[in-house]
Amino acid sequence: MEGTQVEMSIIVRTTTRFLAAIMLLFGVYIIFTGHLNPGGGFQGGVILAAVILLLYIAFGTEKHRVPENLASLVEDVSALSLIFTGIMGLIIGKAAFSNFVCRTRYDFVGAGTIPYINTIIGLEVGAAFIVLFYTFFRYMERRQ
Amino acid sequence: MRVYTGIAAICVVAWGIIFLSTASLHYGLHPGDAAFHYIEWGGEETGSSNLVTAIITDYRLYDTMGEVTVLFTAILGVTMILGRNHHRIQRKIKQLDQLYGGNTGGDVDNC
Repeated sequence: MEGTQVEMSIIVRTTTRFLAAIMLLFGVYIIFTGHLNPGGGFQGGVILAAVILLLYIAFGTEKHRVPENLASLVEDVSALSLIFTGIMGLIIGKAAFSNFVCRTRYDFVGAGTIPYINTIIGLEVGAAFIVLFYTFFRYMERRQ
Repeated sequence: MRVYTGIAAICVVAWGIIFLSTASLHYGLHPGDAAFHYIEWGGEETGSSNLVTAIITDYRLYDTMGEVTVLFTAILGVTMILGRNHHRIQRKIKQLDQLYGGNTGGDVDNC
């Protein structure tokens, strides 16, 4: 499996180098402030996956490649920890999937379990889309 | 064709009967209580400024877990059919074909 060696032009590569860090920061911002601003785990996760897709398209799938096993592991662990958070709500809090962390009002860390759940969902969605892109790219390479 | 039309008509009529008979049932709480509770107490109870996030990740986290499960299952199917070990899976399907004497689509993918 040698990967597609085609890179796009130097304009696209330079723009991608400039934009990737900003997009990564924007995705993390969308995830972490999901309880204060419009946003949340799903949207931020998709933006994180779009950064990786942009790197794949601009540089080919060989460079800048996220190991597929790592992405798959992150996806599995995130999905399990979401269920684990629900069970912790059953044990510590009032009911299953309840908000069991102490809450202050309208703070950055004050929304109980909501920021953690947003982080978990963001990691899950981002890793899932990375696995999806990677599988499709490898399938296309095999078909050629 | 006439049989399918009849089945579809029966399904629609049965759906209408079930829907109308369910609509006349009494729901436990006063209708709209949950919505008013979310709007009035959503910010206080969850500490979140964003009411939509408060609902989908606190009140309705079970629903969100279902969405994540749907995504997980979709990725699982794609990586099983197109992924690294798809030759092994097709060999397994062929073995099952020989075992049970049917054609369950083992040679769909010819790459």
